[in-house]
Amino acid sequence: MTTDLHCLLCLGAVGLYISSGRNSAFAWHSIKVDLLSSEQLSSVLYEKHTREEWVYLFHLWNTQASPSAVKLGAPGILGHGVVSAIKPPKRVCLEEPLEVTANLNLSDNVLAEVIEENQGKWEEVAPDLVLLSSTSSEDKTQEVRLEDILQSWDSLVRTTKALSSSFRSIQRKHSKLSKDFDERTSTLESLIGQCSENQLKDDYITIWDAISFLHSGLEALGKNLSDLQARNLSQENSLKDKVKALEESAQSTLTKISQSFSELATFTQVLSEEQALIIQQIKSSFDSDDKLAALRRDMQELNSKISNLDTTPNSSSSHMSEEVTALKIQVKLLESRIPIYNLLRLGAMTFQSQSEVAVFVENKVPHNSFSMFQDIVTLMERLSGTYVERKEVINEWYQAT
Amino acid sequence: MGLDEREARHVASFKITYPTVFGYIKEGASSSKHHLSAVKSFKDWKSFDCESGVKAFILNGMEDLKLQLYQDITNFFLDEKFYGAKMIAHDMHNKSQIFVAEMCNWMDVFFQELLTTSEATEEEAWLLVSGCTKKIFEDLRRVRATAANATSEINPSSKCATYLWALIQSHIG
Repeated sequence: MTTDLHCLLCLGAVGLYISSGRNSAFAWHSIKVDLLSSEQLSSVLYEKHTREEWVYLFHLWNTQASPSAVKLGAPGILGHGVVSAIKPPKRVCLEEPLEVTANLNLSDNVLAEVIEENQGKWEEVAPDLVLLSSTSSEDKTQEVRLEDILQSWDSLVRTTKALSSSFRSIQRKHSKLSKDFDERTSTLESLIGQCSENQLKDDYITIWDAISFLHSGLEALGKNLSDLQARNLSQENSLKDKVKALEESAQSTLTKISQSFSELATFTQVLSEEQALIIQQIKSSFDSDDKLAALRRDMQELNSKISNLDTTPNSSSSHMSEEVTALKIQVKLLESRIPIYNLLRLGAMTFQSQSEVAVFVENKVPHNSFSMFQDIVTLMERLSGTYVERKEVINEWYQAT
Repeated sequence: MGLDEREARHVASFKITYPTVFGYIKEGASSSKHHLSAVKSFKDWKSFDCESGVKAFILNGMEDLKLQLYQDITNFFLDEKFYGAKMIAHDMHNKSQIFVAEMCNWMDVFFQELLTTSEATEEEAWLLVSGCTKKIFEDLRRVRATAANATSEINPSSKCATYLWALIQSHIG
């Protein structure tokens, strides 16, 4: 026995309260006296419990002190000072209060026997049940004790039924809570990301599947990106190498072309200078165009002689033929070096000498057609025989008349 | 000789230096101090009415000769054998027409330029213009002189070749 068990119940003017000092009626819980019958009240006053147990009992009585609740004054309830304090399970959050039967009134012997029979099981099933000590019944008669046993047995049966109904209620509540929890979990899953159902694909049903699918897709995308970057880098390197090789080859080619152009320009310049020198020499040698024309005539005659040599039978020998060929080449070379700046192309014809003109006239021009060819003097001479202004003609005409 | 008027004018043109329209001298008159004796001043060259004057006479005559000579050449070289000669004749005619037109235009432009860009009088300007024109014909004379006595040649083919060669040289010059 601790010191708390010596706390006495005090019967005040308004109710029953725990006496633990001055003003205990106002500081501790209490119940109204009219809730208990006289026998119950006397029985309760003889019981000894801890302070917490008394508080719990008071609270239980006050909670079930409604008109619909079981009347505490019913027979058997706390009748013989036997009270079992039953604590409701703390972890179960119920919207509706548990139907805890308060009218437990077990005698010590019956309850002790039951407890002894189910000592191990009882603690497992209902660890919150507390066996309270009761008053001694040795001073009662056999009949009274038998009656108490019967009443206790009835109370035990009712209590067992009440416990069974309480367990079933707890089971229903638990199943309902589990169902609500599953529904709320599903609702929460569907509401994550405000993703509507029509947006979900066949590959995933819930948003978690979608997130997993997206995550796997992102991983694959990252892997592909890394592969692509590596491939791009390798291709870029190869391309750089190729461009570099091409640049080098182009550079070498350009260098060669530049050298060739410079050599060609030098060669052309040398040829131009040589040609200019030849022209100058020819012009200095022939101080008039007539002599140049004579040179052309001589070249033409030379050509005709070479042609005659080709056609003559004596030139059939290979030696002569080679000489004639070499002579032809030399003549062509000489002809190419004769200046042609004073040649004119007339009617798709070019005449280099008077003899060419003579041949042309002999073959392709009527002999009396010289008056058909004009220059500016002949053309102006065709204007009139004599130049006479119109006013002079008019004056002469006027004077004549 | 057996020459018609056209051939006679053609042959005579190789004996003179200046065309008659520029160098005509009246009979009995002494040699002129002017470069072009037939065109003594710019007024004679180009009158204000643009209908009289040597320039208008030349341009009108050239316009007339353009079609006339074209038709004469085409008719004369009808045979396909003479196609080359016909083309040469047309080409020489066209080049001569162009040269005459450009020369007339140049004489006007150069005269006006001398008046506007220098303090020369009209007489002085025309003296320079006519002197340049005279120089042109004198240069042409150098190459045309080879055919001055071509009429003495017996061979008609050679005579025609001589004239043609001289005309070609004239175009080159």
